[in-house]
Amino acid sequence: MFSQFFGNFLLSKGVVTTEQLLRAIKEQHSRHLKVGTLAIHNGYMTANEVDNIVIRQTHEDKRFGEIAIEEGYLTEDQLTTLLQAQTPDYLLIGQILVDDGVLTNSQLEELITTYHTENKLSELNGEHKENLDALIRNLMLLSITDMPEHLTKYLNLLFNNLVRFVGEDFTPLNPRFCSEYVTDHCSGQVIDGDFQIVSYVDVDRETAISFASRYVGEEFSEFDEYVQASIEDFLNLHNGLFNVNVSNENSIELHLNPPLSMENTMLSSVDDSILLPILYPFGVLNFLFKV
Amino acid sequence: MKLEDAKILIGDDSILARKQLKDIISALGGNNFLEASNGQEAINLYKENTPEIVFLDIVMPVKDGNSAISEIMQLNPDADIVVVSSVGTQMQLKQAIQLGAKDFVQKPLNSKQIESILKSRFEGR
Repeated sequence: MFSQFFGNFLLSKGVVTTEQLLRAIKEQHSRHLKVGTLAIHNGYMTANEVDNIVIRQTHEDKRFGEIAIEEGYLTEDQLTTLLQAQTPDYLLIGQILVDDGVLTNSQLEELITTYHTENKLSELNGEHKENLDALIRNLMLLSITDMPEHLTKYLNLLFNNLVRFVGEDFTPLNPRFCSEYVTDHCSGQVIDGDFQIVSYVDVDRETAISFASRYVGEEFSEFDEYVQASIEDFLNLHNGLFNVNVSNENSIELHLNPPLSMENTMLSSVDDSILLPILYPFGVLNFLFKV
Repeated sequence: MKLEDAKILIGDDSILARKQLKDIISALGGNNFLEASNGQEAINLYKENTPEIVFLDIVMPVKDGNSAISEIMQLNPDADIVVVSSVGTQMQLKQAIQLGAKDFVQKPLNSKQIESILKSRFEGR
C-alpha cells in the first residue's frame, strides 16, 4: 500500500513526471529488488558505496554481495539479513526509477528519508493500519486540516478496495477543494445517519472501459450499459462495505441510498467538496467527497 | 425440482450485478430468469410468475429490498428469498431474516456461496 503514496510524494516533489512514474509502476512486476537498494534502505551501505560496486561490476564478473563483502561494506550476516528481509513495495519503484536514470541512488536515499520523516512512518517495513492512516491524513492535509475520523476510515477502506477490486498500480494525486464540477460519466451515492458522506466517482469514456475490464474481469471494448454499471457497482460495493465496517467497529448503523448515474452534469451542490484524483496507468478515477 | 426448470427472479438495480449472478447460475444449469431493477418490479414479477427462488438486493430505488421482502411474504409466506447485498451489517441481516428472507449473501458475489444455496434447494444438471 505504501508505493501508491510514495508515487504521490515523488510527483509532489517534482522529481519525476507522471509518465516516468507510470512506466516504473508498470514494470514493477517484472523486476526484483537488488541487494544494493536493500543495503541502502537498511542503512548498511551508502549510495556512493553501492555506486562503486556497480562500477566494479562493469569489468568484474562477480556478484554484488561478493564484492561488498570483499570491500568490507557488508558482513556475511548482513548479506543474509538483506536477502531474507521483508521490504516495503515502494522501494522497488524507487529502484526502477534509478535504473531508468530518472533518479540517482543518492537522490533515492535522501527521498526515502524525507518520505519517512514527513509521514512519520513508524514501522518502516510494515504495512500497519496506523501508517496507512498517517499517510492518508498527510495526503488530505493538503486540503483539510481537521479531518474527521470517519473520513480517514472511509479513505483507508477506499484505497484497500481499489487494491482489491481494481489493482494496486495506482497513485493518489493531491486532493483539492472543488466548488463546481462538470461530470463526464459519473456515479454518486449518499450515506446518511449519524454522519453523512456524499461520494461521486467520475471517469471519461476510455477510462470507464478499462476500469470495467479490470473490475468485472472481462474484456470490454466499447462503452455499454455494463461499463456504465461497473462504476456505479464499485461505488455501491465500497460504500456498502464501509457501512458494514462502521456497524461492526462503532455500532453505528448508517443508511445507504441507491446510487445514481449522470453524464455531463454540473454538480452544483459540491461546495467544499474534495476532489481526489486516482491515477491508474489506464486513466484517472476522479473521486469527489462531501463530508 | 431441477435447477433448469426453476424460475429464478433477480431483483437488483445494477444490470452488472444481475448479469454476474445470472452467469454464475447459468453455469450451474439455471436458465429461466426474471429480472427486476427495483423492489416494486420484483413484487410485480413475483405476483405474475411465482418464481421458485428470489435473489434480492436491499439498496434499490423506488422500493427497497426490505419492503419487497415484506410484500412478497404477504403474497406467499413460503416464498424463498435470498438477500444479496453489499450492506451485510448484523442489523440488516437480522431485519431481512425477520422479514422472511431465508439466506443472506454479502457482495462481492462468491460463486461457491451461490452454488451451495442452489444445491441445497435444487437438483443440478
